[in-house]
Amino acid sequence: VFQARFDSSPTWSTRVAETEPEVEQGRWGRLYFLVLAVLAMEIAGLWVVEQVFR
Amino acid sequence: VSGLDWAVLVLTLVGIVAFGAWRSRGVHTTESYLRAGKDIRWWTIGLSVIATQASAITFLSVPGQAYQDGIGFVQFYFGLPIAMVLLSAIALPVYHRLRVYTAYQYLEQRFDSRTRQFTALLFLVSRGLASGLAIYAPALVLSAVLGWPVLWTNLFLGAVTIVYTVAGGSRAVSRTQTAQMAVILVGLIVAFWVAVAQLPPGVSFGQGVALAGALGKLQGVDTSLRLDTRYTLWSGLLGGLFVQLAYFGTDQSQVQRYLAGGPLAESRRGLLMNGLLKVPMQLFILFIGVMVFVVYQLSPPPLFFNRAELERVRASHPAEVAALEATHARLFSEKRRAIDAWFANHADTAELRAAEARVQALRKDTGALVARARPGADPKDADFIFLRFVLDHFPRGLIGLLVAVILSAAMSANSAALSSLGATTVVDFYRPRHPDASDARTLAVARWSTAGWGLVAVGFATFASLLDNLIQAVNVLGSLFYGPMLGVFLVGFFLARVGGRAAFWATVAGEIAVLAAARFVSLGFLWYNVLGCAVVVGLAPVLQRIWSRPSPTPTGEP
Repeated sequence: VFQARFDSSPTWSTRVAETEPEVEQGRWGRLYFLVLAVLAMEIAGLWVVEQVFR
Repeated sequence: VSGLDWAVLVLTLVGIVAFGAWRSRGVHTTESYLRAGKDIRWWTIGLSVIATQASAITFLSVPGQAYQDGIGFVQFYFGLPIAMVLLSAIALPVYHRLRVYTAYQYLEQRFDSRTRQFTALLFLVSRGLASGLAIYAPALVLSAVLGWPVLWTNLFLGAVTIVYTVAGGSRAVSRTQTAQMAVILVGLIVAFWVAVAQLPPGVSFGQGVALAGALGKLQGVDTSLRLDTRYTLWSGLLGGLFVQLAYFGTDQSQVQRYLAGGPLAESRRGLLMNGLLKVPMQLFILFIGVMVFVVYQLSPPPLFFNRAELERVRASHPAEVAALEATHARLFSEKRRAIDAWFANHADTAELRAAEARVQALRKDTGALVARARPGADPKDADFIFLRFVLDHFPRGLIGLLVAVILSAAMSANSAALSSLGATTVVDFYRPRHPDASDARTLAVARWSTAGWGLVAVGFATFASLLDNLIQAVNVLGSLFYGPMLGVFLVGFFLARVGGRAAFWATVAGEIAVLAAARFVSLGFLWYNVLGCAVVVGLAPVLQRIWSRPSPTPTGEP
């Protein structure tokens, strides 16, 4: 039943809503942002190290 | 290798296996054999996911790669945190709601059984071969340490892994991996500390890092847009994203780790833990290789790091090896003087780099002599650099610990791979054909198929010595299959109108396109993932439009 509802949802956001409520999505969204922000800082840090020690 | 090293090695390995056996007792059903259990927590899932990816190859090849090419390989992992976020948001909820054992079950529920089985077959081929490489790498270590033929060490390591995995199933794999990761992390910190301690008096850690930077070993971000360069920021972010999405989202050896049977939140936290820790961990391992490089700039390195192979060449070509060694000693002295001058006055970097280039050219000449003297032997020694460093520079007891680290990594990655190969064989191929089989019978088939895949892996490991750098071989192998696998899952998630027939043939076309590109086009292997995925996602809706007939009704999982 879930699969049928999921596949028939017209947009991706409504599909996601089939899997978990909006409150949960927001809570996890903050954690996702943290992971991506850490990655951006790591890349920037590596670039700085390269410039300093080249 | 001293008695103390043997004691540390044996106690560590026996301790890990005993811990795993104790934590995984009571595996008597197919459910408990294929899943780690409902009580599994996120840190166990996170450590298990990290340990599955970090095979022994990671600890043998990666420092050697940093020694030769610097830390640029870290860019390969830039797509991983993004992949963890996307999988946590998109795939994980779907897998959990559908309560699947393998990722490929989803494809039957979404498309049809042949799409499921074709994708599962791609996984079995790629993971079965990669498992062979993952056995061969630590077998090399045991061979170098014990002086046994690689064939024996292949068989020994394969047998230990098979017995341990067949007995405890997925639960044993996940629980044991936590202990293995603890040993690995301790070992890495010790390795770094020993490498720094090997710097000669008067040379500080900061000077060592500056020397590595001057010789181009700290170039971690390459922003060039060249498609034929293996590791750039863009190939890492885009190609790496695709390969990590495919690996973590569709490779059952990982899916089985985070679909362990617990709640969605625990799986999600485990994946995000991997997203946070993977890049720093990989960078740390690369940095250990950089420190090994620095140590060998300040004290004489071996002419060729695979000592056993060099001795065999010396037996047949003594004069040529002696001449190379004399030149090597002279070039090292010249380079050492250039380094001392550079430490005194950082201006003359060009002379420093020229001296290093002459040493590298001589290393290539040595490899050419090995290839000429012993056809079939490996002319490259990158995978032996870290091992040689450990054996020559580590104090008694710590050699045993480092060998335990490498073997722990081998056991963790291989047991996860064999467990997932067995699970896919039984869930995606056996059970659909034998829906009425008893649980005891299904469990027996799962155990036998796990053992069978172990034998295939050992067989392939026997031929692995013919391949180039091991970790690149594993990644290239994965990239030949991952793109189409990811593509069909993306079609399933995002293109609701595409049916089974279009998805199946688009996946077949994607795989043909990747194999053709690998054969005929000069393209960095990370781009194979993008290509395969793009062909499937681009072609499937076109085929669906052409074949506007509705696809066969999904049969569903019994």
